[in-house]
Amino acid sequence: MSADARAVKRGAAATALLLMAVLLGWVVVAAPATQQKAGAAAAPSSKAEYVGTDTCKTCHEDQFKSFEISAHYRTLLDRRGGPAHQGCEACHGPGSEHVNSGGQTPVPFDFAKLSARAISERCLDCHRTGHEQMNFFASQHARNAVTCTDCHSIHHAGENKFLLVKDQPQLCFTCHREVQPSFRMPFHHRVLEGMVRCTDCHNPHGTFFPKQLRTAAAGDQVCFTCHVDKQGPFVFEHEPVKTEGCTACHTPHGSPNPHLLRVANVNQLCLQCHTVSSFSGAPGTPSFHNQAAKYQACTLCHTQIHGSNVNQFFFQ
Amino acid sequence: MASDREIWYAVQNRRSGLRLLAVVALLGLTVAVPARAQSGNGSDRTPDPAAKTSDAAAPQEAGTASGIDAGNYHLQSSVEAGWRYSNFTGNLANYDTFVNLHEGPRLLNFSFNARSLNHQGLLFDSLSLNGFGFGGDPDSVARLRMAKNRWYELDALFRRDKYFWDYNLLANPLNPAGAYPPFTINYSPHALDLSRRMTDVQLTLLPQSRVRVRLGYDHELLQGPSLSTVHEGTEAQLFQNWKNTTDLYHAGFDFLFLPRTTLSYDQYVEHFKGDTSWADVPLVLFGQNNSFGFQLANGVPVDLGISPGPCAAPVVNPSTTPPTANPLCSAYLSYTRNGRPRITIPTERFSFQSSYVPNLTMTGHISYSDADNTMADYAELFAGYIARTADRTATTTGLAKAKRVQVQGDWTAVYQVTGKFSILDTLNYNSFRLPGQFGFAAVQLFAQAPQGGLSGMLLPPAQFNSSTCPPPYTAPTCPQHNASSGPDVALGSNLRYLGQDVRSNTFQLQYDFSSHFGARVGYRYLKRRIFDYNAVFYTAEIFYPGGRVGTVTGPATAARGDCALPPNGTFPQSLPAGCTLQPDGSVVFTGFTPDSDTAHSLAADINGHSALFGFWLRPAGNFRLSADVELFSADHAFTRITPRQLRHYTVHSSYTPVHWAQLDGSVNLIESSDNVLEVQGREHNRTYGFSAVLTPHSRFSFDLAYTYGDIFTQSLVCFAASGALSGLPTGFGTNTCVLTDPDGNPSPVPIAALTVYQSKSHFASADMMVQPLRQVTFTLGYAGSFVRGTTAYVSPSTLLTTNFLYANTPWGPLRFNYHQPYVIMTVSVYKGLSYIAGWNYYGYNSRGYADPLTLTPLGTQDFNGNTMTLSVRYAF
Repeated sequence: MSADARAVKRGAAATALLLMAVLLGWVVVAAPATQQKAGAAAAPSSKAEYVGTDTCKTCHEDQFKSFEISAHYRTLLDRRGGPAHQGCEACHGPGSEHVNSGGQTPVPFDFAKLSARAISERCLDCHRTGHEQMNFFASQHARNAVTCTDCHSIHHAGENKFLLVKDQPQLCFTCHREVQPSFRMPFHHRVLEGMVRCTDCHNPHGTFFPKQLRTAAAGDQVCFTCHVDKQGPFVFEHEPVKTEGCTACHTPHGSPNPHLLRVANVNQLCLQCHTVSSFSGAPGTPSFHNQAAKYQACTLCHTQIHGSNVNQFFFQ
Repeated sequence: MASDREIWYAVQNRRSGLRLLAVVALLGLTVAVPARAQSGNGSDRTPDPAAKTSDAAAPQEAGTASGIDAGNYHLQSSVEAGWRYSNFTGNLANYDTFVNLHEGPRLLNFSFNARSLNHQGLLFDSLSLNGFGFGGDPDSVARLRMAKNRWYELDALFRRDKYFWDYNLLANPLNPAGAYPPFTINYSPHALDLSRRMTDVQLTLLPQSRVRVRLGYDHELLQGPSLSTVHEGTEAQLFQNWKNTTDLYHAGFDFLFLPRTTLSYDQYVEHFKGDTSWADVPLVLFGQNNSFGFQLANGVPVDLGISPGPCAAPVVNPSTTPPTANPLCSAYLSYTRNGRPRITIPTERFSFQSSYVPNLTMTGHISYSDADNTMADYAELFAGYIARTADRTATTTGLAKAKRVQVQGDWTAVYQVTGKFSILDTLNYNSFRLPGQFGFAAVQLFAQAPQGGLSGMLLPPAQFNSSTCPPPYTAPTCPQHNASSGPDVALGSNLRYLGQDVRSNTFQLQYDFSSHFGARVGYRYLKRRIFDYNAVFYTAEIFYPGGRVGTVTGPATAARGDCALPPNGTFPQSLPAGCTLQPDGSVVFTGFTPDSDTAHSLAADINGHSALFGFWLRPAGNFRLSADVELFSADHAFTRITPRQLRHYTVHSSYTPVHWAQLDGSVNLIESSDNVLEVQGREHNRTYGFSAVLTPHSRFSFDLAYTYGDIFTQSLVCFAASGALSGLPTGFGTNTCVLTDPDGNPSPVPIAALTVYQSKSHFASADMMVQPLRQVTFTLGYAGSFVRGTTAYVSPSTLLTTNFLYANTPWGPLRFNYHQPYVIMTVSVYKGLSYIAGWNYYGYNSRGYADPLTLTPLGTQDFNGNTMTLSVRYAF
């Protein structure tokens, strides 16, 4: 690297650091005020008091019936958090003003009128400690204003499990319609059949990874959760399996191509990498692999293509 | 007369039926007890969208039965059982690969739910048991959930997946027509009939306390018969007896001592046992006779393989039964391979989540995994003949060991600066090191020279010793080595290493302008470094002399392989370094092979940059839209198909104009390229989807969906093929591959071509539910996939055809229509008792030539399958 290039790099780094420092300073100075502002929007009136679920029930009997048979009912049995964490008011806030006004004054947390983020924050007050939900605010769903009540319905759930609006995969297809045809292809993961669920591979509440993908127990690609025999470690790794991932060769949801391959002909797939290149370490096909003499797939000989313990050419 | 395949399935279904009877009996006991207390609150069955996905009556839900109260519990239960009829025409192997629904009794669905009325049950507050698909269907699932408030939550899931595969257009030799003998193969040489059983149990103790305990156990068993192949001069069909077992144990603790903060520790131990074995044995499998099919002149059965090697006359006498094979052609007399890898993967993970600091939410984890793979008992035994090397037998044994040490750390912070403005940063780090070693001992015995009218496999393998092969090593009983023959004995180790460091940081700024609109902008930096290492060290690689040209003083066949003489070299003075001549005439090599790496080398150093944009829009409560854009660019690529440039656009929208109608649309566009001259890679994957769900009345609903997909892939490839190319379209390919490897060596193969794969698909589905009477519900629908694809096949004979893009490649996966209509009728008979009849049709039709023009025909790929499921459902 030339001296000029180093100077430019140093300058860029210094500028970035300066910007970060300014940003951080502004954040620290501005935070208390903004925190107060943000809180004020959602906080209940200081005059409001908790009236108890039995009071709510007198007018909202239908809602109470759905609440009574749901897991949320257990909040009434846990008095450690006080009335702010119990029953209807755990979600909707203290209801005295609502009650005293004969319903004219809305409850502090009327979910139909809250913003997506406010709804998520309200739910995650209790649920964020769960491993499934811990990444929600960083998730792609949250960033696109998809909130808890888009998939879950506390009072009108279509499914008992997790109070979902409707069951998988139909719920996911509501937005991800473009994925559905993949599962109708001749070769597909058995999602429509009920064998595999969207949430087996994706965490709708967010993960640390793109596409909200989960990982296998050892931190590897989620594919290895079921396809354990491809996980290794092998003495002879087919390196892209570990470095590029399964999707380098396969399309995971479904495909017209056998084994969910990205192309129809397995030889074409192999040759795309196994052509000599000045930057790639993948060996080119040797001269005796005469494509005119044998009309066969590479994997007829290279059977252990995902990795082998005994053969560098993946024969055995 | 029933075919072998039909008999095969008859046996499978009979076994499934017996299992079903047992399950039904057990379930009957479960249902019978509460049934006696039933109050008769049966209700109409609601159609389940999932039911139409695979089979009319498969995954039905419990419906809306209101249940009964018994003691402190409210109980709901349902069971649906019946008989599935099926008939099909066409390619049965494809039907089984795609659908695999057959005839017999089925426990289609069951559920049992118990809920404590006061949420304070004795052993549990809630219990849910449900499942579907028992009795022979390819997918069987059962799930049990139990929970007792503040004490425990249990989730146990069992899944059985029958994985059948016999699709003959992959891994098929497709021998040219006119080859003798005519090896027509109408099945997949890699056919599978596996069963995957997965059990997952998760138990959380004290779920609402400050210290939570999480325990888990997962078990997976994958086993069954399958076919595989091996290459020893020619490709033999092997019986692969598949059996892999995995156990995963998990213990974790959550600590909630700090306000709004959770600290967690998890320990996983995964153990994998691979007990799969391979053998070339005569047997009938998948309805196909995979017997050896030939004999030697002495009557010994011999397997010429499924793709005869370069042997001009593999059969010397076709009139015998079985035909008599040429003893000098590559063939198998026996082959077995065994090796039982044992892999243990302990993983520790520490994670945290905190919103302790106002407006700042942080999550992170760091994990360490140390996988160890040991295969101590590898043994491969081959007997037969390899024409190229004159091998008669080969035995390889060894010890394989591999490790993977992986460290992973991820951290995310979301700072809500104001009510509208937030900053998000995600840091990912993943590093693994993967050293491996295979220590081997390989012994090969070579053929004797023809003698007494016998040759090749008709003679026993040659033994090298002073009596059978004295100097000058030209006796016919000497091992008949040639220049391609490998070592007679090889003791050594193959050393491998792979490592990768990945770091990425994603920084995003999000601003919600109002409760109706928000946007964000961000940047992601990605850095990858990949290292590898490959070396072979021989403790002793012994090359015996022998062969008609072998002498002690002149160029001898002992000087071959790693001890081959350089051009114009003299023996033994010019033997390569590490090679020494022994008193018995053999040459022994010790040391690293010349092509070994001696240090961990940097294989790739990649820096990637992504610009991220996105916005969401909710102008009204009944409309929402979101969009994401990622523009990625990298300075390098590890493989030729890894994109250096990528553009990804997604749009999702939903509109509910009236309460009974919902319209959804989505677009997903991925455009990528690797635009260096030597790759010319270009890809796109474009999908556009639309759906409408209309429920104008509780007794009528209708939904419609359409999706268009367009996939395109292009790259420059080089390959070997006999014969010169001519008449190629401009820009398609050339006769000269001018590419070089990283060391500047030219391509070993001559032909360059721009390969293209394109697939355009239309998917349409429509479903309707109508309830003309309160007791009768019809659900009917249709799903169709219409795929039209093209590809360039790499064989010159196909390139030379006029219509090269639509040439001789079998079109099964490229062009087809796949129709899947269904009808379900549900009749509510009496108080929770329903009668259900469902019909499904599966029609797969290739649109074009199924058979390559110049190859042995494979037969049709099409099938038409009907299943009729008649069942009774009882719910309360």
